[in-house]
Amino acid sequence: MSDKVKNVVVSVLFVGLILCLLLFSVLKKPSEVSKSERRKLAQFPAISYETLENGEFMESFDKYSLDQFVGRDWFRQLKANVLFYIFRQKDNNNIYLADGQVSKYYNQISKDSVVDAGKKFNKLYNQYLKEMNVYYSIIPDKNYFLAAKNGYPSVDYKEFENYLTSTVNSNMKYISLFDSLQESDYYATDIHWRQEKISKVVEKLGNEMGFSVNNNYTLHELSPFYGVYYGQSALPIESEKLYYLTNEAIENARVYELNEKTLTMEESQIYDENDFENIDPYDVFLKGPRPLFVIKNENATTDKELILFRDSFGSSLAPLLVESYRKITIVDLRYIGSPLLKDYVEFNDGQDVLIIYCTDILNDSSLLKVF
Amino acid sequence: MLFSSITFLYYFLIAVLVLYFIVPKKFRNIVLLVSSLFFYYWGEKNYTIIMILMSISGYVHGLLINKFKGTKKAKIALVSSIIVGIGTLGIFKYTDFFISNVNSLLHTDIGLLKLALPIGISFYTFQIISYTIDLYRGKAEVQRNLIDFMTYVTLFPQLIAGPIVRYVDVEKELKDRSCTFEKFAYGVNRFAIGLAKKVLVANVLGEFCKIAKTTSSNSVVFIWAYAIAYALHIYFDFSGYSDMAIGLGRMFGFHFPENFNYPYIAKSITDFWRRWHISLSTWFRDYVYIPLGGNRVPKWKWIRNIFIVWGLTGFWHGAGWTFIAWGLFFAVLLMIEKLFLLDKLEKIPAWIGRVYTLFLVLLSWILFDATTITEAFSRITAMFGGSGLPLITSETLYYLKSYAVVFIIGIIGATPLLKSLVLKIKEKNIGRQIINLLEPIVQVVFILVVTAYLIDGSFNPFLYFRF
Repeated sequence: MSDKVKNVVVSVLFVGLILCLLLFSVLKKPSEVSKSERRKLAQFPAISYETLENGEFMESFDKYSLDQFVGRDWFRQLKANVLFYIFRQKDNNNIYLADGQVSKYYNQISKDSVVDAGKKFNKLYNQYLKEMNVYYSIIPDKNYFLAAKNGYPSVDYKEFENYLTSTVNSNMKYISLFDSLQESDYYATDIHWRQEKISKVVEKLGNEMGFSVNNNYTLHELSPFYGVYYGQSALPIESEKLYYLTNEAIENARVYELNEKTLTMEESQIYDENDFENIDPYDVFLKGPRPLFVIKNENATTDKELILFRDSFGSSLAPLLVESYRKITIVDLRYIGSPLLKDYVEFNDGQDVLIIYCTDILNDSSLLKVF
Repeated sequence: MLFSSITFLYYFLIAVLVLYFIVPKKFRNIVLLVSSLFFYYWGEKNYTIIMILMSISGYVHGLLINKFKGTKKAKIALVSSIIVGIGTLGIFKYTDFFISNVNSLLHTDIGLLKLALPIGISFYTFQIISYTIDLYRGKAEVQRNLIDFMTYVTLFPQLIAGPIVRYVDVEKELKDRSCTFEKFAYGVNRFAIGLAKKVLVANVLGEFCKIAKTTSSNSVVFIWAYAIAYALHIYFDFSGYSDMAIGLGRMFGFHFPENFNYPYIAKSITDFWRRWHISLSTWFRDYVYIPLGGNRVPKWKWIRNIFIVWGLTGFWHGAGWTFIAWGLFFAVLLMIEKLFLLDKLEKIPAWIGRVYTLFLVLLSWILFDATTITEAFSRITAMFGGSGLPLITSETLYYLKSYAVVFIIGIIGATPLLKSLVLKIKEKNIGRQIINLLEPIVQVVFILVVTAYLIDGSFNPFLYFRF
């Protein structure tokens, strides 16, 4: 190619490429949501004298131009591929692949946060849980199994446990679950554990809390399941199947949920396959982020009642406890403040209480609304 | 507006290019002026008026200097133009620095102004001053057309982070310039390279620096790696911006001066400053050092001149003692070189000179990047094992492995190896044909990959925006 031809080609290609991508971006129907990133996408901002004057339009337009760019997911995949396979970087915004799993590492324990979580547990105890059988647990994130082994930055989980256990009131009993899990108990593309793989966890809890379960479940599958790290990694990873378990106790249980608008308890359900289409398909378990559920099982193997303080991991754990408890009250302190609990939760002496949170929440315990 | 943003690349630039090339030639400066003001307003709406007023001030002072040419009044107009420029820069950039120093020295409690620094003010102020001084010296013609003058001051490719384009550099092109496929293609090439340097190398190394500075698992090797990463980061960031500015200028028919010439292969500090931020060092040489007498004065005055120029160079970079110390550090080194070391450096093998230069430049960047002089000393001490840090940790090793390829690309890219190779291949006709074939492909790949990084990435402003 001669210099002259090359100059024309370069010029035309540059303008053509930019123009084409611009036109396709502008002319395509704006997307409302990015499923892979699990978030709403910015829309074309309103133009007014005010938004131009205060700079809001410019700021919003910059976000719009990024969010509505044509082939956004393809470009995100291109970046991830260049980063992993050409620049040979070992993580993309802390997301890494190891042993067929995708995970997001962190290398610092927020001691203040973990200690604060312990103080919040104590406060909860002093407010509501005296005279009850209170247990608490930490659910290890999957980096516990993956990171250090594969050479990724990791935290000292023993130290993590110590920060919490040395803060929490000794009237509450700690149940360690670190030995009851392994990396294959977690979804490869997601942060969460697999409900069908946590029988050891349930067994350990049962041994400590005095209940037993019959592991006779029917397995249901939903697919394709793309976990939260699937979108964040932006790599062409294969989808998974999401499984949930049922048995007679689960099927016959009556479920009530706090309606956040009317503040009344309304009938609900343990699993809702429609929620598999939500931004987070893990919402299949107890409808995702909700403040309060009550599950009643009149045919439970015991007369015991349980109050479960939990995060989304607890959503898939709770159904497995249904056969053992006549009543389970499930509280997510991220969505309901502790002062409100007295209005919606029956606290009775002798009840079992399990406070169980994953390391991610404990490392950012400001999310827990305990006042 | 950032060059490395989707808004700039896919909305602003293309709109300006289309408009620029469809309007008659006589309206092209108006297109550039309006688009430059829009470009500036997009990111700095509150201070657009300051830039306009500064441009008008430069224009009016220019008319006055020309009108009173050869009289004392011309000198008064020149001094006035400098006072307005430096005064405005001083108010926005240095007032709080002076107030805080007065407060700590005299134990007073004078309130800080807390004015945000208008983006690019250090650059456009120097451009305006270069015009009035050159006009006074008879090196430039007066510009009577306000549109043309404001186009020069506000020209968006070089407005906010240089190169510092002197009026005489573009005087002719402001009136008459040609746009050809050759120039446009050259511009595209430089722009794409600059964009890739900024987004694919500088930003990534910037991440590494951030990690290294905030890690709780620090080590001696990590601090050395940070120093090297920062040196590469600042080079690719700033030279990438200059490449983009030069490229954009060329697309519109302007020839902006080069700002970098592979500074990390310099064999001495003197050589380094002939290759780093050339438009700034030559500005200080021509408008401060030489008017002070340069080196044609008694030795004590010459030493004074060096310290003034390098103190000011440091101070130009930021209102802080670290920047002044950084400038003075170079003053001392340059003085030592000029007094006796330079002759010796020229006689020893080149690699020794390069290692010497790189080592001192690395130390200087640690000072440059630190928030306090104590912090800089603490990092430098740690580099030599003085802080009791372990030599290396598993975390250091992880990040070194993770960023190894980017480091290698950065190191190779900071040398003229690739450029020499391309020129060598181009010597033969077949090689030239191959390079011509590859060039558009590489550019398209760069633009697509950069777009991918921008879409997936977060906000990464250019380092030199704050100066």
